[in-house]
Formats: sequence, structure tokens, C-alpha cells
Amino acid sequence: MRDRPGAGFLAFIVHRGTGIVLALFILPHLYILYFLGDPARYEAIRRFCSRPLARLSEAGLLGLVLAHGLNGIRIMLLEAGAPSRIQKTLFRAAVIAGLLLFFAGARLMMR
Amino acid sequence: MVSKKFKIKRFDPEKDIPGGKPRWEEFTVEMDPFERLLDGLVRIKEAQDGSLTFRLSCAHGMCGSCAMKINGKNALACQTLAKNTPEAVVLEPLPVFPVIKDLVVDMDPFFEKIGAVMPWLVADGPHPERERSQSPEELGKIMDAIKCIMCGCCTSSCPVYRADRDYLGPAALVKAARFILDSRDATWKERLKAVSGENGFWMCHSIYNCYEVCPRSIDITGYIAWLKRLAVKKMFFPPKGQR
Amino acid sequence: MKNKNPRQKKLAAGWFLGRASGLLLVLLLAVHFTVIHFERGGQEKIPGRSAGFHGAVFLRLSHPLWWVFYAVFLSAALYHGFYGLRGIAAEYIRRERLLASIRAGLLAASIALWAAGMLILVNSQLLLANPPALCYKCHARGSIPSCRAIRFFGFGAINKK
Repeated sequence: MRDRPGAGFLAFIVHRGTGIVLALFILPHLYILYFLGDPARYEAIRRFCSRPLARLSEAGLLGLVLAHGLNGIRIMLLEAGAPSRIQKTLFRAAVIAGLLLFFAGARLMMR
Repeated sequence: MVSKKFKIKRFDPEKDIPGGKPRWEEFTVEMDPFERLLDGLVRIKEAQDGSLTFRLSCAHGMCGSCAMKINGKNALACQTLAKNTPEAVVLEPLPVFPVIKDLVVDMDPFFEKIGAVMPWLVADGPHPERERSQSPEELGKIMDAIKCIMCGCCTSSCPVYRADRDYLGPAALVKAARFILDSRDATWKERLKAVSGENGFWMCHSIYNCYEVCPRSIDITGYIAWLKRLAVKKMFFPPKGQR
Repeated sequence: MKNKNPRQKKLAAGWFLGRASGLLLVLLLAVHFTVIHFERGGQEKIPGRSAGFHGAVFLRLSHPLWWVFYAVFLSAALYHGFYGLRGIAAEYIRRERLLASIRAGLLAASIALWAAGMLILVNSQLLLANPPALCYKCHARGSIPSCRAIRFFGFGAINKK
């Protein structure tokens, strides 16, 4: 049942995986924001979130968002009428833009 | 002449358990580089193993009978030349569809989906004296979609169809688009309704497997995207009378 | 012809909203990441100056535009996320009744999360009207986030005490 993974198939798998993780991420995110009503607890959580490992996972979150968002733009362009023959070019463009934005963003985050 | 090794996934309903461990058999055939893989299969059946089963009919890429998975990608055996394949060729039946024997799969689920989208012309008005004519522009709109030979390569390569057999699949959706776009057809509303349900084109995630494998190079995913745009357009601007 | 097949229309509207919320999220996330994550690095050295800092969050929330920003963000993210999960469930789950209950569960979860998020937002306004001690302290210290990103997007806090 193995298919040779084409660009579109790879994009689909990544889109689905990142999508599920990001959707589930809403829950802990809101849970942390719940402590906005308790400044001391909130600040404690925030201090925890500025530790190196937490920051690294924050960069990972940026990666997930970029992968999902850029491929989302690719899909929307194609569904809005961009010709199918450019789907692989768009995929490559999304990968390059994603990597550039990821390293630029991660640099800002890890400062 | 080159020596080609055929590695074929086999299934004999009288010997093997369905869904059991696959049985692979290897055959070596001498082939001219410009011969098609289908020629190699015919030679194996004639000279080496008469029990090898596969479909063939026109052998010229027009009937879609010899669709199979060739080196991991759905294609027609009659369109694949020996020179364009590596020394060892791996042949499997089309994925997802139930295997009947060796490379022959049950295409009934596939044709059921096509039947569900009314694959026939419904013209209105009295019969004209001669034919229902179309302008070159009108024909141009469906020119790509009418090339479909219903081989099943697209639908059996679709990950969504693989996960959910209720999905109409790319072939049926292209068939629907072909008639919706046909200037002679009068029932596009019913057609759109038939393909815009829970199992229709909303399930398509634009994965482009169908587009990549189509032996007739039809812009399948493009047609499905066009259907999505049409449905959204009709939601915002409900149609009055003709399109 | 008036809405003869509402089911079809619902599916089309759902799909369209899914795509529209996705496009919106791209823009909102760009703002969100710039304000919260990218600016933070440089400001962490000065305690209490980061955009994720408790006081900073409240100062932003005191501006109606930021409040609306977060309300829209919450709604778009939840719709987009749960529309996606719903589609994935429909693809893989074959048993009709199980699928129906999972869909109902997803709908309930998304509504609950939306309500929780809105509660946080409404609560923030109540807290702003009546700030707790620590929060008041930082307001008093006047640590308005000197975040370039916030200034860039134009709407900083207005009702500093």
C-alpha cells in the first residue's frame, strides 16, 4: 500500500499532522490564559515558559504554524484557480519561505 | 533486447487467503526497449505461467483495462515502455479495490461511483434535425475531461478514497464536471447536487495524486477545485434559470 | 429558486468558512507572533517589559481593538481547528453512530472552549475595572510595554491608570 510520496501527498500528510497538533494546542493555551485572573500564578507560568527548553518548543510551535499556514496558502491559491501544474513549484516555494521564516523567527525568539 | 525482471504480486482465490501474506513471483523476459510492459506480461502468460491473470483489451491506452500499480505508481501497462522502467519492474494490482485474481481487481465499487453522478447527457428541447452542435469554444471547455477512459488509476491512488470508500472519488467528480460544463446538458443543478453532498468534492484535500497518475493527463484536481468554486458561487449567488 | 437544498448550502458555507478562517488566521497569527514571541526576546532583559507579561496583556486588552482582535482570533482558530478535526473524523471512522457521537463531542468541546475563551476576555475587562494588587502595582510603575510591534500595529493601550 505504499505510494511514492509526491509533493502533494507529502504536503497533505504534513498539513494533517500539524493541523491536529495545532487544534489540540488551543486547549493548553486557553488553560494558561485562564490564569490571567491570578497574576502571581500567571507570572510563574510565564517564567517557566522562558526557560531554554520551553523556548525551543516555542520555536517548534512556530515551525508547526509556518508549515500549516504556508501550505494552507498554497492549497487556497490552487483551489482559487491557480493552475495545477504549478502545485509542485508552489510546494517548493512554501518550503523555502517556511525555512527562511522559521530561522528568522527562531533567531528572534532565542535571543 | 534487454532482460527484464518482472516481480508480480499474485493472488489466487483458490489457494490464497484474501488479505493474507502477499505472494510475490519473479519472471524474466527478454524485451525490446520499445516494447510495452503489457507485451512482457503477455509473453509470461504464453510461455512461462499460463495462470498469470491480468486484464487487457485495446493495448493502446484507450480502454483503461490494464491499469495497475507499476513500481509504486498507478499507470497503464500498455503505456509504459520497457526502456522507461528500471531493470526490475514491480507490478501490483490497483490498490484499494478488492483483488479478484493476480492483477485483476473488482472495479464494481469504482463504476458504482461513476453511475451515481448520472454519466449521460440530458438534453432538453426537441431533437434537432441533425446533431446538437457545439462551438469550438464550448467543446474546448470539456475537451480535457472527455479524455477520461475510466481506468481507475486516479481513484485508487486517492488517499481520501483509501480512507473512506464512501467518497465519490476523482474519476466520478471529473465525470460530473464534464457534464456540468457541457453546453448541451440541461441538468447541471441535479448534477451539482449529486456531487456536493457529504461524500462529494468537499472531501477532496487537493493532494494531487490523481493529477500525477492520470494516464490521460487530465487536470483532475483542477476540475474538482472548479466544482468547489462553482458550489461556493452558487451559495452566494443563487442561480436564476440557466447558468 | 429559494434554498431548495439547505444541506448542500450548509456544506458549502462550512467549507467556505473553513477556508476564510484559515486565511484570517494567517494574518492574525502574523500579528500574534510578532507581538508575543518575536519582540519578547529583546525585552526579557528588562523584567516586566515583555509583551507576554501580565501587565502588558492587560494593557492591550484595555484597548477595544485588541479585545476584538482576540475575540476574532479565538473564534477563527476554534472554527478552523474543529472544522478540520470533524472532517478527519468523518474520513476515518466508519461506524455511523460512533461518528455521530464524536461529531457531537467535537461540537460541544468547541463551544465550551469558545465560552471559556470569551469568559477570559470578559473577565479581563472586569479585572481592568478593578485591578488586583500586583496588576495595579505594575500599572502604577507605568510599565507600558515599549514593544515596537505594538506601536507598529498602531493600537497601544489607552486607559492607563
